Amino acid sequence: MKVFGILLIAIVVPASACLGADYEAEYQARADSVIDYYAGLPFSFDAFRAMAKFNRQTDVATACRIVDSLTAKPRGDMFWLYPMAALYLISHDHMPDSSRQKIRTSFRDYTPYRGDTENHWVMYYTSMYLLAQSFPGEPGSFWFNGKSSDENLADAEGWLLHWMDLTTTIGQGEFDSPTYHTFFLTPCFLLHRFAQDEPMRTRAQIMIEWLLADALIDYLDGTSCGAHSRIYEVDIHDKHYSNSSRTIAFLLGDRPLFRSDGEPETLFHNTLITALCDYQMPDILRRIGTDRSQPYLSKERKRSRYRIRFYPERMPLVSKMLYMTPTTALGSIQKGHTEQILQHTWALNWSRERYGQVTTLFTLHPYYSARDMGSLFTSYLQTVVPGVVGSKTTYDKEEKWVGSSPYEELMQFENTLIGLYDLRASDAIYKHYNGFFPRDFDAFMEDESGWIFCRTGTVFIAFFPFKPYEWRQEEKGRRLRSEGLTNGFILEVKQPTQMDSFAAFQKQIKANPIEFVDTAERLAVSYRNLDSRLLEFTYGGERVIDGKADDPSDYALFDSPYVQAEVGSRQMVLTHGGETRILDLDKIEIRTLEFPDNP
Amino acid sequence: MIRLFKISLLLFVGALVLPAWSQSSSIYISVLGRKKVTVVGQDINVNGLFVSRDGGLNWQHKGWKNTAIFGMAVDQRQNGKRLFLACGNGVLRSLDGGETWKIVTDWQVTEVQSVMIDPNNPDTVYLTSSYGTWVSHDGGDSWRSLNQGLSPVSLTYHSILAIKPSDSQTLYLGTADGLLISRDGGENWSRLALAGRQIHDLEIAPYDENLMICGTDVAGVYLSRDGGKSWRQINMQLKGRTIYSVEFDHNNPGTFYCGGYLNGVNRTRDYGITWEPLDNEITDKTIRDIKVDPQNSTIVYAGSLNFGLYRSNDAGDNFELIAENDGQIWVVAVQP
Repeated sequence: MKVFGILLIAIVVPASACLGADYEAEYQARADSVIDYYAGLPFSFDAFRAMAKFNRQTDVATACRIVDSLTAKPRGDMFWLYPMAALYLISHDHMPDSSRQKIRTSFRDYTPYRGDTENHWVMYYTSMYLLAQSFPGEPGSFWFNGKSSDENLADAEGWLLHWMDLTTTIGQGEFDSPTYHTFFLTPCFLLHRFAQDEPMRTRAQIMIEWLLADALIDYLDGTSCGAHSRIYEVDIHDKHYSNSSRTIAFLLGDRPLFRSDGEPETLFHNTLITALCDYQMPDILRRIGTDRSQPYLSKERKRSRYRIRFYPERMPLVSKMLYMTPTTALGSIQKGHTEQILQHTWALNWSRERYGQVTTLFTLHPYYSARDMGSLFTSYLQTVVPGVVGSKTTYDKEEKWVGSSPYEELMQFENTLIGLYDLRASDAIYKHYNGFFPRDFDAFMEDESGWIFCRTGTVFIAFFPFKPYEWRQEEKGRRLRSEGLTNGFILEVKQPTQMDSFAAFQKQIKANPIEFVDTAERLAVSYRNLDSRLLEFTYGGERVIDGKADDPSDYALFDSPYVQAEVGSRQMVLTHGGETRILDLDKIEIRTLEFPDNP
Repeated sequence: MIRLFKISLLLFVGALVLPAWSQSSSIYISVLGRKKVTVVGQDINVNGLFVSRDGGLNWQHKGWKNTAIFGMAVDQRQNGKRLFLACGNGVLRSLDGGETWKIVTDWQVTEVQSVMIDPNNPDTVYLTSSYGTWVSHDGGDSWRSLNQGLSPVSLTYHSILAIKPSDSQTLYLGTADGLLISRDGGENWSRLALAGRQIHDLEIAPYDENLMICGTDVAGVYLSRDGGKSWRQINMQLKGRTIYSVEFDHNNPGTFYCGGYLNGVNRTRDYGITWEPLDNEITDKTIRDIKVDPQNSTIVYAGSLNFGLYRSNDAGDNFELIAENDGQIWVVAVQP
């Protein structure tokens, strides 16, 4: 946070000054193509295509049928409420009065559950806020929950301000989720577009840009990189098509929305709302999301999902790190757990060279626990795991590819990662860790030194497992399965351009000294990497870099060359290319400052 | 006049020959979920609150069809007109016997576990939730947190609250980390007992407020005979150790019931020294809630998680399924 000392000489420009005409024209063309696509789809129980049809005044009869269907038998709780609220707000002036009345009546007759995770609550309370202001002065008998419009507005505003405050002081809860990031972002687009209260609109814009900065700092070649709070198995091997990646693709325009045959490539229904909300992303965010000319380190502080029992704190700290280079991104959670079901604790990602290439590598200890689930849910401990497995089917499986373990600890320094596993505890049911190695390497070899070397045109990888392992072939790659009550690995990564050759990379890696201590009392690693940095890591103990202790519990909310935010600050500073943009939730304003001589 | 006499006679005779339960109280149950529905066209389950006013012969759904109800309070004074439901979305209140409802809590209150009306001050209502306890002194219109100083989070996970009958300022709270007590209406709490034990249910005997029982996770039933100062485990003969529900027989001191995970219904007649597993018609042994009819303690209700509401007319010797053979019964309440 060193920027403020020199801000006085800066030229202050309105925050609305955003992008060049080309980007704006291209963005508008993308938005139009999304609206046109949804407007042309046939009947389905889908509020999104109804809002597109109404707005284009195309096939209005079908749009009315969709409204009839969605209001005749509502289901889906907040997942119903949020698109129906969007439909009402966005298409209000374009639909017949009969459809308006049916939607309005459904807000009285259907009783949606508000959900039990934060993305549910953002959808629910944004919907309730905007609907309550749309129907001012109505008594409780006009609303499903019996609260008057005033009561609903105050209630929803209370939660929204609480969430904004938490996120900008101690970090986002469901952070960097390829699945759920868009379900935070899109309600904010609605709030920004439709809130009648100007400060609330500004707050919404601050949160949009805060969330975008959070995602874009981790973005490389169409994917969200590194660690994630929540990701599903369907996205784990290829994040190019996750909800979040598709939303960002729409905003950046860095990948086609449609294939050559006109079918969707990266299209996602939430982008329709974005397209209809007239939001224009500031260019500084586009540059932060795409400028990979220089390597950078990004440290972030997040918070755990709400813990309701068996934990010392409600929202314990989670520290994450990501090291970005022009073609690689290595990211990991250095401390804490946000949850055990869908967390992705670390991943290496690299730029793909061809369509469909699988470009990720990671490991995890498969772990499940009734007590951990009891810390998240009110269910009885005797039934909570089967309850979770009912929807998250791999949660208790030994071959799962998502989920965190309390018996996995990581230490990262830039492009080097050390992982240690202590699986001696009785509730560590599975005594192995899994490692995913994708199918699409140009070279893959197991050296007699114990190192595994892999290469593509954009990454050199060296992986050293401490204990014996076996391989299992899978569709997207191969699974390294290593048994052992105590276990671990070292990973070091380079861009090909940093080395003379792959052979030179292997030779130098093999020369690096490794010390692995594996006794009943101590599990520890000492490793000097290719940059001659000495990393010393003890499971449950110290982490030391070149003799200096490293403490991941003191991270700022954001600490990178482009994104800065201090814990407790309610303020984010974006810096890139001679421009600084300050998102200030305390003052409820966005300020942009330019330094013309500092490109 | 003759006709009126005939009708009265008919009713009198009917009362003599009808079973006891048919003259008994209103029954309220919450259905949390159902077996998978296979009926064509019925794609939305009806869950939530069901009420019978004829001893279980006929049932009427009241209120929300898709809400999860984890606790309920029926105002005894108002003949069931005033109802509170502990729900995921907060506390729902009805002032007209369940015809209309309002969420009376705000966004801060979620995952509500139980709700209870102070019998001495009916405008005072408590809720317990997985985020702590709140109180309302105006019948539910406004609520205030009672969680000052409670840490770590297990001490804010509140399953159940009990009010001392002779002193409404004395509250007992079952948490995920033992029992707490407050002597000032919840303004301040201190540990009472059973630290480390997760408490599922807590009851004060209606005939002796020094006699208390609680059901715990994996540690069975505990009993106190000195108002909570000291507790002892009374687990002999119990097949399982996770107890979701405990219930006193109002009229027979020393007789009480318990049930829980794979436990069935169990009865003791000697303050827990010996237990009888009532291996009877209840095919599923996971019992979520047990209630004794306050008007007739030979009538015992048991709500099963998988599935159904059972009733015994002989103090637990025999049970019959009376409702919801595909419904998970979470709460049973009986209104005289």
